Amino acid sequence: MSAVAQSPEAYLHEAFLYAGDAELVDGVSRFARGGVEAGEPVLLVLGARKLDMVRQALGDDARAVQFADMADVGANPGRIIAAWKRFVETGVAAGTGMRGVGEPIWAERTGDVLAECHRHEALLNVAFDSASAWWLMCPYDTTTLDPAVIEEARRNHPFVRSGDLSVASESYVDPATSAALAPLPPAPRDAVRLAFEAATLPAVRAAVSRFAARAGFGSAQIADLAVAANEVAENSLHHGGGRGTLRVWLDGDTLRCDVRDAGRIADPLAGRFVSVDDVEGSRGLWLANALCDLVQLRTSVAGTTVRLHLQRRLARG
Amino acid sequence: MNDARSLLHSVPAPRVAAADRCPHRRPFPKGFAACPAHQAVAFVPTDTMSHPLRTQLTCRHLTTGTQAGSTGTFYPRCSLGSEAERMRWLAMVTPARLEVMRALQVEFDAVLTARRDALFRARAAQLAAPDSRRCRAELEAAVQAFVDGAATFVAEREERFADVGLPTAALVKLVEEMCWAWARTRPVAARGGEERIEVFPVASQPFLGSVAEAPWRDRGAAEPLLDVPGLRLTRDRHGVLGLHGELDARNAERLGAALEEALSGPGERHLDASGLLFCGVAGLRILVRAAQRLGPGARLVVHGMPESTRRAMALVGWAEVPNLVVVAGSEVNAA
Repeated sequence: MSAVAQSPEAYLHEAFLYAGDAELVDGVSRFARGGVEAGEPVLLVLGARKLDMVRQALGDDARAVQFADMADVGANPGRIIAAWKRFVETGVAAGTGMRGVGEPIWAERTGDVLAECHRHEALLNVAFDSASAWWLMCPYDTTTLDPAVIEEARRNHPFVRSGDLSVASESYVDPATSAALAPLPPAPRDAVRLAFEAATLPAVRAAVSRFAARAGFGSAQIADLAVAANEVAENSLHHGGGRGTLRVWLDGDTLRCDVRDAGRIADPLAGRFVSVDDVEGSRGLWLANALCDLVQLRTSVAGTTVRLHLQRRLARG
Repeated sequence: MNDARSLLHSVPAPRVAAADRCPHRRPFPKGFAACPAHQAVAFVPTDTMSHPLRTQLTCRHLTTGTQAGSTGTFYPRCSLGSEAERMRWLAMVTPARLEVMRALQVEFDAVLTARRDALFRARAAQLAAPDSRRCRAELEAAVQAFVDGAATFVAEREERFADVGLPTAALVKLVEEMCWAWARTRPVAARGGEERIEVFPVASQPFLGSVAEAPWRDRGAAEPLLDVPGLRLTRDRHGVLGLHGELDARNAERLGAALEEALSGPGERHLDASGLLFCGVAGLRILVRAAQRLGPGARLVVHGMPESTRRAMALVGWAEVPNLVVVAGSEVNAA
């Protein structure tokens, strides 16, 4: 009788601390099998190598399990909640419990992406109604990850599992009361800067397009960037006092684009998925997340900054 | 009566500006951005002795036109055509591709200015001394150096040239032939390049030189239903609606009102979106709502939606909207 057989009655967001591949494969495959035996939909979102190992361990049971590559789903961690929303909708419709495994953080993820992965994990605590009976387990490899990353996982998950033992996390911080996120490092002084309002939206698109073209980006990425920057700028028009400031700069192969305004975004989940009610601005930030490699949002009484990151995919001559 | 007629004849006909007259101030100032189709290129004027003068910035599409009915009256002519035709060309190449082309031009000028100047000096010297073997050899060396430099430049940026519809092998061949023709023959040479240009995709040809026949030319008047900053909505004689320009939060609401009127009534309505230079979520929302408002049995068929816009539509969850059909291709079969 394994401790992962019994599904919870309500939403459970749990960190799974494991030491090396063998523990991961054992823990995830038993978790998935428990779901399959209970007739629940199961979705595993891991890196391709880990997916293969788990698939092998599951044998015939793998046929009842859905798999997705975290490199696709979570390249930008701001898109992962939308994927879980879609999965949970199917389970809710079927009236069953659901199980998911998502590993957004691995050793190679550092800096801005790591910060946004932690943010994503914290937001998972408010993204789902506690009434929906679904169990989300997030593996963390203690052998390769920095202890500070594990510490952050304990803060972002109400429960922490180690082997068969799951306990309430003592350091868990409710995201509603958590301290403000670390501010973004300021844009460099030589960034291209442009103040905009409604009448000058075309100048926003032209400025980012020209900057990206001169930085060697291809036309598809330029078109995506123009849309993403436009949506964030329009968000400033609707919610940020009708005006804002754009800044664009290049950092190695990555173009960064800040849109700053005087407004404050109250919804912590803004831009994480498309909400059913079609309020203005709700799709724009989501589209920025869908088109960019990373979107960072910092909002306070002092104003809001949305930072877009887009990595050049074309070789530069 | 006769008197009146003869009086009329004595008054010179009012000069109507040609539709393809360039409406912008020239020479173009540095950083000129007023024309969305502008493609800055360096123009090297020469004196009567073919010595290069100070380089000026002109536009790839700027040519000299002759006023209709009055030979000898010239005007600055846009080879792309009228304002509407320029925008249609831009929609075909897409603003993003034009931006890539502009960036490549800036890089080209930065990398090859020295070789180009040497080329002009060598040709001036050669024309001044047509019998000098040394001058001839120096000109040929200068041409070769420029062509080699251009070939290297293009090869290092193969992906980006392919992105704007300019395959590198054909491009290098064109540069080579035009350079040698320019150097070897009379100063008015460089003909024959036009046939070479025809090997490139039609929409990309204006990147290289002027084109006579082009699919972005006006195909007959359409009735304007809306003309607001950045955006026009038209209806042609078949009843097909056309969107031209940039659709964003500035003008989306007004388009919504115009569409509500234009789409009233039953049946299938066609909208040609191939003239859209930009469309964000605000614009998509207007199209979706317009389709949702249609009565039973009616639907909105959108043609020629730019690829990036179609992708955005799917990403925000509007891939399948009742009464809204987005079809590939821009040719509207109104029959």
